[in-house]
Amino acid sequence: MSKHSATENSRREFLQLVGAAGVVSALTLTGRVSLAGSSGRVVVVGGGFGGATAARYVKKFDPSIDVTLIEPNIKYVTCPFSNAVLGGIREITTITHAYKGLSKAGVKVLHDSVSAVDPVKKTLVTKGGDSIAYDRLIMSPGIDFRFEDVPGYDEAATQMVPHAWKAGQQTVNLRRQLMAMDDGGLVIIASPGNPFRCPPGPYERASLIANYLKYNKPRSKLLLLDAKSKFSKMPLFLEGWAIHYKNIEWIAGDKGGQVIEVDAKNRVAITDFDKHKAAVFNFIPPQKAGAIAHSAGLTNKSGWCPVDFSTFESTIHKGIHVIGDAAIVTGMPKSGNAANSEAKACAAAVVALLKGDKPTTPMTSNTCYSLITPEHAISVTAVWTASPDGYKKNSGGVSPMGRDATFRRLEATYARGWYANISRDIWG
Amino acid sequence: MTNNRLVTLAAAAAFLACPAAVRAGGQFNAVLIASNCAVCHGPGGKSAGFTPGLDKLTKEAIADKLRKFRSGEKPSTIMHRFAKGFSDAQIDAIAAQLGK
Ligand SMILES: Cc1cc2nc3c(=O)[nH]c(=O)nc-3n(C[C@H](O)[C@H](O)[C@H](O)COP(=O)(O)OP(=O)(O)OC[C@H]3O[C@@H](n4cnc5c(N)ncnc54)[C@H](O)[C@@H]3O)c2cc1C
Repeated sequence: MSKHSATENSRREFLQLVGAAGVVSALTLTGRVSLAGSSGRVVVVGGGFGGATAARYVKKFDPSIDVTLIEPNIKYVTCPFSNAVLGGIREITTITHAYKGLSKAGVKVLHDSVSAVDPVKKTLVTKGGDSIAYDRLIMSPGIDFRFEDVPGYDEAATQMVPHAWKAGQQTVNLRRQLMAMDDGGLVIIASPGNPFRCPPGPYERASLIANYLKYNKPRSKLLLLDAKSKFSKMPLFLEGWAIHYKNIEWIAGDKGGQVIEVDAKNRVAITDFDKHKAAVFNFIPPQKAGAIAHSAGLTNKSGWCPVDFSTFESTIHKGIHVIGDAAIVTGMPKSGNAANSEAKACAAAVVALLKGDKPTTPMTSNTCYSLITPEHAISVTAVWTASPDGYKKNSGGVSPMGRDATFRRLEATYARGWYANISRDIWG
Repeated sequence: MTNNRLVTLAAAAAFLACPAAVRAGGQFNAVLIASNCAVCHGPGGKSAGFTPGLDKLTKEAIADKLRKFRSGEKPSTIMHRFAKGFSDAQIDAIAAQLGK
């Protein structure tokens, strides 16, 4: 019956062995491989909010599928609640997650980074030198920065002037600078124009740093320089700041708030009208899809990846799905919760497509909490249904204005619940 | 009410009849919609704390709460904003996924 050569047989056995160990290493596979007893091979690039969710849910929706997750870092530090670390109300260890839970769920976790994708041969190559074949590839590489758009700001400058818009070493760096600053020093946060990762993020960060300054450096001020004149949950943030903080000054884009150049060595923010010298300068640069999305040819001239809204399949390369911040998901924000919801919809579509079934029209949802103080939170939520031109909102909205401290405290409690539970849903 | 019950029964029957891991459930995928509840209420409705768990609730209790959030009869911080996004059939299908 079997027409396989001896080498082909031993390669299959080898694959089954490494598969059983739950670890993939030094695999050199060319061409399409279908493991015995599996109904296809899905490879996921990126172990963040989108990728780790997608890997887990493909396996959950169809355990016979062979799922490999490729992520360079042994541990993932979440951006959600990293503003709480900056504000000194959480330790970074509480927002750091390992990948054991995913291995236990049957996902093969390979700690490596993808350096090239061949959408025609359906293979990818890793930095470690492996060549891996897929039937369907899901990419969730997150963001990279448009250093090319801001004179004076580059990778080297991120040490003096951290962005802390990818959590980890950058978060620790910014926290240390805030702690070392003299009372009376000026903190500057520069916020980019749309679209960018986590629309309410800069304003939550301003709040929690202002909270730290209020109690620890009462003579210090926080200057928020903005490329935008309106921002997410703006009336609720302004209401909260009026209650809690006298130390925040916000300069809108239409009042000259946009930082157009950075003097990193001197921590100076340069706008069209002014030069602002900071003691601590947090520059949040303009953004684009993660580098691998560009080199794989998945981006359009916006710098982000166009996708089909019901399957998240790239409209440029068939067989590759893009989710999370890197994708253009019209109607949905670039948030961790949105990436998680997109990942589940994408996983269901990938499972259906591998079976030759027609995917259903997905519904997605999102909740983004922002802490204004540790006990005062606000939220934005939505439920969407996919349509050919984007995600159409069924319902949603922001927290009501004018509510009392009890209501805000309850939302702060639920924000913690969201973090604890979404983390388990993804990495647990 | 009678109409709602009929939909509930029809939805429940559809789920029992369809053992696939991902059920289409008509034009919407109930497994997929319900999987989104995990982000606040925990995987399998088992909450790690701070947010109410769903694992001890019956299907009927979940559907009833969702309808009351939707009508505003039951006050909430965010649940009314979600519940308004779902039809009766979707509420029953979500409840059938999550409830005991
Ligand atoms: C300060 C801040 C606060 C935030 N707060 C919230 C919040 O409260 N709620 C919320 O919902 N969202 C929040 N967000 C947004 C959230 O962090 C992002 O939307 C989310 O991380 C997007 O998920 P992703 O999978 O697209 O990207 P990421 O989570 O960044 O994951 C990308 C992964 O891909 C990996 N990768 C990249 N390139 C490669 C490659 N070539 N090969 C292999 N792997 C690769 C990276 O190492 C990374 O682990 C916040 C963001 C910030 C900055």
